[in-house]
Amino acid sequence: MLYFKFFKIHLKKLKEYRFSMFLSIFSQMLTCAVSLLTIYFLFDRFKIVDGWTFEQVAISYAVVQFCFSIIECFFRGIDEFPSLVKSGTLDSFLVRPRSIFSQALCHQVEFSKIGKTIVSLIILIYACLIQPFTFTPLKILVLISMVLCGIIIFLSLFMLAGAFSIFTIDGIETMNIFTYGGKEFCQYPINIYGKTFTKIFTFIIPFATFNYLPMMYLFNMPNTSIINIISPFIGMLFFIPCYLIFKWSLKRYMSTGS
Amino acid sequence: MIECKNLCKNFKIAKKEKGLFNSIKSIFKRKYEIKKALDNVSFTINDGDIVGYLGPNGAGKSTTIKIMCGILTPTSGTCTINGKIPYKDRTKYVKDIGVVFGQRSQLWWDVPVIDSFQLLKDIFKISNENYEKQLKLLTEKLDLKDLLHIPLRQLSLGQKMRCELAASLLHNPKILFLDEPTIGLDATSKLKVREFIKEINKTLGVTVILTTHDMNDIEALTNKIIIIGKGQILYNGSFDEIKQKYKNNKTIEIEFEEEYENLNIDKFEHIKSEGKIQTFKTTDENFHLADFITELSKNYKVIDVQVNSISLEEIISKMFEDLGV
Repeated sequence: MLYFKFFKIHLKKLKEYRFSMFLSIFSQMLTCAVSLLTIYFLFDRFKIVDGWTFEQVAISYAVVQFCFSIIECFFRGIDEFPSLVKSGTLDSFLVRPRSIFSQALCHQVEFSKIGKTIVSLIILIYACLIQPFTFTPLKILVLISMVLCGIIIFLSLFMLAGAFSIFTIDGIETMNIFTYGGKEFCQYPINIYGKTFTKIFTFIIPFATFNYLPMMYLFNMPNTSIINIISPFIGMLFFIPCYLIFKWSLKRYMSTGS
Repeated sequence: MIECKNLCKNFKIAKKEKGLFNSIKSIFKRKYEIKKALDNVSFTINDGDIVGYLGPNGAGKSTTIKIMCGILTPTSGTCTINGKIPYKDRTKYVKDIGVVFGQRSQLWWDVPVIDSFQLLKDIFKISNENYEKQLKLLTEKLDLKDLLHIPLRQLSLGQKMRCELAASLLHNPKILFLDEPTIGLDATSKLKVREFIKEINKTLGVTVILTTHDMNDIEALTNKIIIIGKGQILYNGSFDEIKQKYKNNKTIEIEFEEEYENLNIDKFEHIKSEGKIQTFKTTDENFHLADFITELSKNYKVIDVQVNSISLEEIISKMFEDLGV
């Protein structure tokens, strides 16, 4: 697959900047761990926030951190798409016989973010171990689908930001509200933000589908149904409209040359 | 075969207005200006041609090239290249073309050149057999053997350009687009690049379309030139024809023994006088140096005569002038 061929190239680049890489891996690990600690201290004081325990919040924190760091690490190109547009790299993409989306995915791997990925994976495993209930195979499946759904939703959001950047050229902060801001939101179960936000983050940007909805099933909360189990798969569908918008914006790029 | 018919390309440019109030207003409501980058551009290029695409900065050269590469879609008109429409079936079409943008690299900065080539092989899905064959050929012709294992960023500009050329030809394209391929290169590198372009045109039959500001590139390479200015085609034909047309433009510098005033020589236009040195211009076809000096010596005391033909640069800038660019 093309991605792995690119991956090899990125690995080779790595050799050139080894030392600075190790430093930034280390600092990334620290930041990730420290931010969980803040959540821990918060719960140490209040025990339960809006019906959620620390163990439960740890799961939502770890899932979103893990998803996000996977993209930042392995699919950095889609995250940096606005700068590709600005620098004109997009033109080089267009003269190659591959889709722009796949070229953007392959474009960059940011190994320094691997620290974040590792730490958030450790936290995720730890969070699973401290749960008072036992994981059934179905629950493990739901957890995995949550992670997949999270990755796809964030990818879709970055794609939207990329599409937006074609119109404005400058990478715009507005879209960061949804990508980086979204990550901050999802560290807690979405429903703690109140009814309006829960609705927005369920039906417009479906963060809840890998966060609050399946978590209700995981934690054996009352009033769960099949919807809670399959919600991550529904959330993945978010990719389709985003991809269509992305493609449409490329068409516009080709006809404006901006 | 490249066929462009009535290509038009308009760009919408947001008007910038002065003043704080206006700039706040423009956030909400923008006024646009339509700029015609291409205005009814038509031409055909035959297989195996080397075509120079010339014009001053901002004339619409890059826009045309970008349309032909499938990066831009024209506002109206059609562009058909080997039966394909570049901007419609982009992914299929780009396999047929190689592109070198002089100012932008297609290769990866931090890795050895050969790794970039390998990656391009995968991107373009080139078979092992074809890749090896083409790589061998290009390595030989561009003398790349010692460069392949060096990271791109450590190469000189000339070496880089040779690698870029090789990269653009790995998939054996039928058409090669070169956007200022000799920009910033030293004399030797320029010669090498030129020689190579000529050679692949001859041996592989690659059609080459190049833009350049270097007139020597044009003279050494092209058999056809297209001149564009303000989005319109001004000239489309052979380069020799233009040279013929302006060949007779000569300047003659004459050094006299003493200073003369009000010099008037038949058929000659007096353009400059610096003390004893006077400069004249002629477009006379029947200009004959020996006769001219004999004639001149009858009335004046001449020390030295120097005849300068018009340079290529001057021909082109004169053409731009004559065509009203």
